[in-house]
Amino acid sequence: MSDRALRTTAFVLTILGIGIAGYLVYIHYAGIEPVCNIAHGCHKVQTSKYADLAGVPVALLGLIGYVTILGALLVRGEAARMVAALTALIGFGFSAYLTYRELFTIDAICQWCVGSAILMTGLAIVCTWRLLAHVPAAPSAAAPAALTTDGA
Amino acid sequence: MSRRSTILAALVGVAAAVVLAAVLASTHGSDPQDHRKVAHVRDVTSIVSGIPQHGLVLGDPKAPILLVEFADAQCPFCRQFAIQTWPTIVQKYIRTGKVRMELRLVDFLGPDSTRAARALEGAGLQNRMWDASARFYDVQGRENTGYVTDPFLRQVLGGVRGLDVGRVMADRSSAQVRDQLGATKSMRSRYGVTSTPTLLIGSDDTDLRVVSAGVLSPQQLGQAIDGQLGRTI
Repeated sequence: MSDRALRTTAFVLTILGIGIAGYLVYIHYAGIEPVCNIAHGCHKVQTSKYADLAGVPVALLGLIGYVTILGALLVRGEAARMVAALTALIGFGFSAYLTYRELFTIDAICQWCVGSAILMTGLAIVCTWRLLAHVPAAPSAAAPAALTTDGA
Repeated sequence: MSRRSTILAALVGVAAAVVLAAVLASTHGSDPQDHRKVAHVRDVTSIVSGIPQHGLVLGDPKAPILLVEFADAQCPFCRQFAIQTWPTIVQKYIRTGKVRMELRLVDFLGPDSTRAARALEGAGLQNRMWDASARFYDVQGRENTGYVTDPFLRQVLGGVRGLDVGRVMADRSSAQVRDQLGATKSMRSRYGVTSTPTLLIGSDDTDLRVVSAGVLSPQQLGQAIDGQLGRTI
């Protein structure tokens, strides 16, 4: 898959993630109920102890993560690709932990959180793939030969 | 080891360390036991001291405005409302005889909610429901961990002056408490209440409108009450 395709995929996933996280941040600060098709699942998850991390709403942390990935996607270079991959991997890990808490501690499912977890999983795969695709698998022994060829 | 493998290992390692730190912060944050320690030295019932209570109602029965709160004792947002907004409303509107407030307990969140609601309704039979709910929110624990046990309830109710805790524990299964919770369920259906805290305002139980589903600031709720007072008086 080309870098352009990977970058476009990551961009689409990030925009969707910003939409979900932005909505959850909005309903958190507006003090209103999220639209939820699972009876009280979202309310239960959003009002649980795990909805905050050190006093900061998890939805806000998610939004910051998505915006960071978006910023990194807009910048060229290995450092930007690394930031995107690292942020996505952190987001994936924490999303996995929160999904575990939803299933086994809170005993409720929030469709928005599951959606965000799926997007973060996709982003972790795409961003890591994109980063590694630009890195040679091993220190290139062919490079001097190539230089020789170019210099010939 | 290739550069690709090194980068991948470093990324996964750093990400795992950050996630582990976040998980530890999430697991060990805001231990409910901390609230319980504070409860021994803080008298949260002073907020309603000297204000008449009749069953579910706090305030002068002749107050022109009725404010109804649908709450789940386990709900952290209800606790937030009780701590951040309710004391101001009590001082400004209930203590001054403008508003009477009714607490309608629901059990949306789980079995701990049901046990808490029955005990608080039992305290209401002795006209101490609002003292008991203030005590409960002060020591509210983690949702659905089974923390609402008889010893926990005795600790909560034991801090309410003039309350016969033994009678409350017995009254939890009484017909009066069952009927009261049934009436709340009917009212919840009538007004379409699906979340907590939900606030309704009007002149009596049959003439209410929803003010908000969520936590309002004292200013926001004060505006709604002032508007209702303007229409009523």
